[in-house]
Amino acid sequence: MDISLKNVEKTFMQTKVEVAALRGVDLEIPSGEFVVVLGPSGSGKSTLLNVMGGLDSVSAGEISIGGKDIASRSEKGLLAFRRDNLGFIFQQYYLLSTLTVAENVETGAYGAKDAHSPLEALRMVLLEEHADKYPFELSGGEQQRVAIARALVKKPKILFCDEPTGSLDEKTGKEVLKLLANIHADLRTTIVLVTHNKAIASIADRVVTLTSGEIVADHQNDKRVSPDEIHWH
Amino acid sequence: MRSTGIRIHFLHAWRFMKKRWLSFLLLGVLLFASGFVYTTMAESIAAIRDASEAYFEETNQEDFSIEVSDRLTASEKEHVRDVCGLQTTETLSALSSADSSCHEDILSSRKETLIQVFTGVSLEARLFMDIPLFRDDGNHRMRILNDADSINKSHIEEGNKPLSSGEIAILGNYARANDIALEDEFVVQGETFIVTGFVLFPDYNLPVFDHPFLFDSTKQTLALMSDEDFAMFDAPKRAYFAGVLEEVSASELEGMFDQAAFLTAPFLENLTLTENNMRSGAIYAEIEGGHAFALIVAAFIALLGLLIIVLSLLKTLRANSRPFGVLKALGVPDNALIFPFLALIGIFALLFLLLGFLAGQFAAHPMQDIFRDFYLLPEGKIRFRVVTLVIALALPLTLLLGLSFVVMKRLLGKRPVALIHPALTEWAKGGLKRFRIGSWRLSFLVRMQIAFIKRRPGKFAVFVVGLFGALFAGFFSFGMHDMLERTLPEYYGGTGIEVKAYTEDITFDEPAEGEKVLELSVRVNETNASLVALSEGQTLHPLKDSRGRDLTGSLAEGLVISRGFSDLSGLREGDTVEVTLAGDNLEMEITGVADIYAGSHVFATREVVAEWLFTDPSAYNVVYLSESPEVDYALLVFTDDIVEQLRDTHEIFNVFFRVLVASALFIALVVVYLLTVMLVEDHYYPLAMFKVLGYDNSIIRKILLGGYVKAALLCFVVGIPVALLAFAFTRRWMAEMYEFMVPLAITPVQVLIYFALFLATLFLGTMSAKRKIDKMSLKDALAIYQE
Repeated sequence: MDISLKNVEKTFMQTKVEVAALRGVDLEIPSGEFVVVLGPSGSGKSTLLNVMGGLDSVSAGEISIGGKDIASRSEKGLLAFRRDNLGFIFQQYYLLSTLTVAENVETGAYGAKDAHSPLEALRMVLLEEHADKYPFELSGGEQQRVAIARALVKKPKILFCDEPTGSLDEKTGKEVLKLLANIHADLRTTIVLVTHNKAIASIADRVVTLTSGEIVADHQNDKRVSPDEIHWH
Repeated sequence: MRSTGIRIHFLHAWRFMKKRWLSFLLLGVLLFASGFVYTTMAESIAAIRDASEAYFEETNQEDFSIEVSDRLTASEKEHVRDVCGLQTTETLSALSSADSSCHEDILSSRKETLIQVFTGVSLEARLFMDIPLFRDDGNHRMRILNDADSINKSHIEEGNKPLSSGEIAILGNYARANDIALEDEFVVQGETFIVTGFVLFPDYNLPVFDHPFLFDSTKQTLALMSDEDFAMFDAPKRAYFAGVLEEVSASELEGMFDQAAFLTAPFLENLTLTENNMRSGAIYAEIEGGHAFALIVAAFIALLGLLIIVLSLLKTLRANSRPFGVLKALGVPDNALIFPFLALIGIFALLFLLLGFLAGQFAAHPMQDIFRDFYLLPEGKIRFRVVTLVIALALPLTLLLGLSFVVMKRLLGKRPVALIHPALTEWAKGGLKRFRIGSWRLSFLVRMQIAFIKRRPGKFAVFVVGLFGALFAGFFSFGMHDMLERTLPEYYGGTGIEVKAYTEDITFDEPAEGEKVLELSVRVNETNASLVALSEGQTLHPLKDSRGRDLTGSLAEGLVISRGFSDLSGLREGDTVEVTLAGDNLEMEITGVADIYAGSHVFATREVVAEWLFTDPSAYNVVYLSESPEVDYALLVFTDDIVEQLRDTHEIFNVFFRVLVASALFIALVVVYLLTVMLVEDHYYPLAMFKVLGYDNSIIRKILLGGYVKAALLCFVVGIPVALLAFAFTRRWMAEMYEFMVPLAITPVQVLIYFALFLATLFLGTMSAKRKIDKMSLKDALAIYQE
């Protein structure tokens, strides 16, 4: 599914002052691409991911995914669209403490027409043996992998990742990135990953750099490396 | 894999409830109690109401009654003297023994006069005789009523109506309490009767003979004899008139009860509508009041339970807002997240409410029996009523689900991004900023306590309202506890009277022993009163005011009124009043208020009253004695018997009031437990941070719970004046309704006992929260925060 943004604007009111988070963003992401959106804190990268994923509305501009306009969709329409096509991973894992790992993964498959079984999804993230454990019994990296399995269980066409390694150390962070790289390689899932960590950019097909809500650089990454080869900042 | 439904969200909701099983069990108990209390009361009262309506219809219950003076008026005395040839008869009851035909003449004449005054009604004289019964277990009392022709007809519950001489019907309640069966022999004043039936009278659904609190039918009974025996029975017959509204309304009738009525009918004492009459109408207030009481109590308990459930839900949703935000981002709709909680809470509430309803259906049977131990009414049928089901079950359930849905929808209706990344944490938004505003003079601890209260205003409000409601119920129960002790037992305990010996008529001869007294029903201004005229120099009946000062001197100068009568009439020391009896008036000044709550007593000097009414200062109709008399009297009343009878009754009430106090404290315990545990869970992270900063457990407990404990203590303190106001209001209401004072009061000792019980409740209720604070670890707190 291609993603297309045309002249997207997003403004917030902050203590009676209008703040522009995104300014005239134009972006085309073809299906199956692994894109890293890079930028410092406050550059608008999370906002960009939220509006692309239909989690937040735009102030102006057009967004379409797979040729379907999502900016003008109702909340209900957006919900169904996200359910059928999109997966999300966030910096925090936000798992439900009362449910086991497998059950947490199962929550992500609500209403999916063709979903993996929770165990299949856990196998993809190498956590099959932890299926019956509760989140508090896992490390931070393992919990993030559960969150990835939760996002993958319904076979999304696009995976949006908001600082997925932000709370992890280098070793576990790389494991998570490796997992994402494998998913991209094996399933050809479109991945949009937002990060402030420049090192992560080298694992992507393409790197979009955002500063003060504007795209200041957008280039293909010809020298893709494995997550094992990157140096953490 | 097949599409995943909301099964997993049900699992989440189920485990959430399972984890808090004790809290939910306690909430279940509240819901059960709500359904139980309402159903028990509503069903038993409905059964009584239905049975009573049919019974009152069948027996033609009076709409009102007219009390008339036992003392003959001047013109009546003239008639008795000139026509009947009786020179010294002063009272109607004495006339009934002396000349029944003349007695009938006077009654007929009074009836005719009353019909002229109160047009549009029909009247029938109600005659009765009060007889002491000397039984093996002590002295009992009996009121024998005439068998009415059209108004207040007798109703035989079991057995047969006594039609022949030597037959009698008594109350079923009295018979059961005293092991008397049908066909048993029953001795009344030396004459043996056969019990042929158990009888009820519609004008006595509470067997109130003279004192409003003496209605225990284990030691006093009503009775019905054959017309022949009733006419011949050797005892003075007193009378009032029972009336039915024919062409006027109750308010029109009350309008006719004015000064002119007293001029036309000088024997008139009082007109009482049935609904305001304890003996015939208390059941109406019981039906109305009992239903309202059940509704208020049940609604209060249910509302507490519902609010705590909703608060608990709110807390869970807040704690899970981020994971729910992610799930919404992944396409899970609000309803899939909300519905499992609603369904499980609905099933949980339905289960406990239904259990309460079913248990209430069963309990309604013994409850009706308890009512019928006091109220003399036929048994009603307890049956399933849709309206009870709706109020006990459907209403709270709908309210719970509606409220929960609104709360959940408001919280989860936000965009996923707003749930995942709330703009500011609540703590930063409200808490720290509020530490400073307007509270800079307060200590750090107090400011922190205020901040923690401000952070959860909803919970704090439920805490205060729940606790205050429970405390108030407890105060009220304490106020009623031992209430009857403050009436006749306290009254007679303060006198040296052992026996009150009543003469058949006004007597002028010197008695062989004891102190002469005149007891008469009078009106003081607009209020009916029992005038007790004591002889000068008497010693058996001291009169003291609330400060313990002797009022004998005041008695010589005018009228001393009881505290009960003062509250009832609004009259105070120094007021000049008009005392009226059978057309004679006497202006007197109130010279003192005696500390007596027993009834509507007013006291005067016997010699003054005797001179006023009988032109002979030696007149009396009662002799007060410190031991049993050696000569015969028409009626002997032993004060110990009355006190014992009243204590028997109030012991039953006391058990009920103790149960009420215990229930109130249990509700307080549940409220304190649930809300303080929730508070700790709400503030797990900041409290754990206090630990990291080096605060010890006792300080952390004070920070979180201190404000709540102070509020609880404040509720108790404020509860005292509020309860006193409520007592005053209730006393006034009862006075207006039934013309007697309910001595509701709470003593300092009772306050101290209640306070000690409350402190224990508070300690127990906060124990779990304190333990949670002590056990709290930083690791867990951070894990919860991250989630």
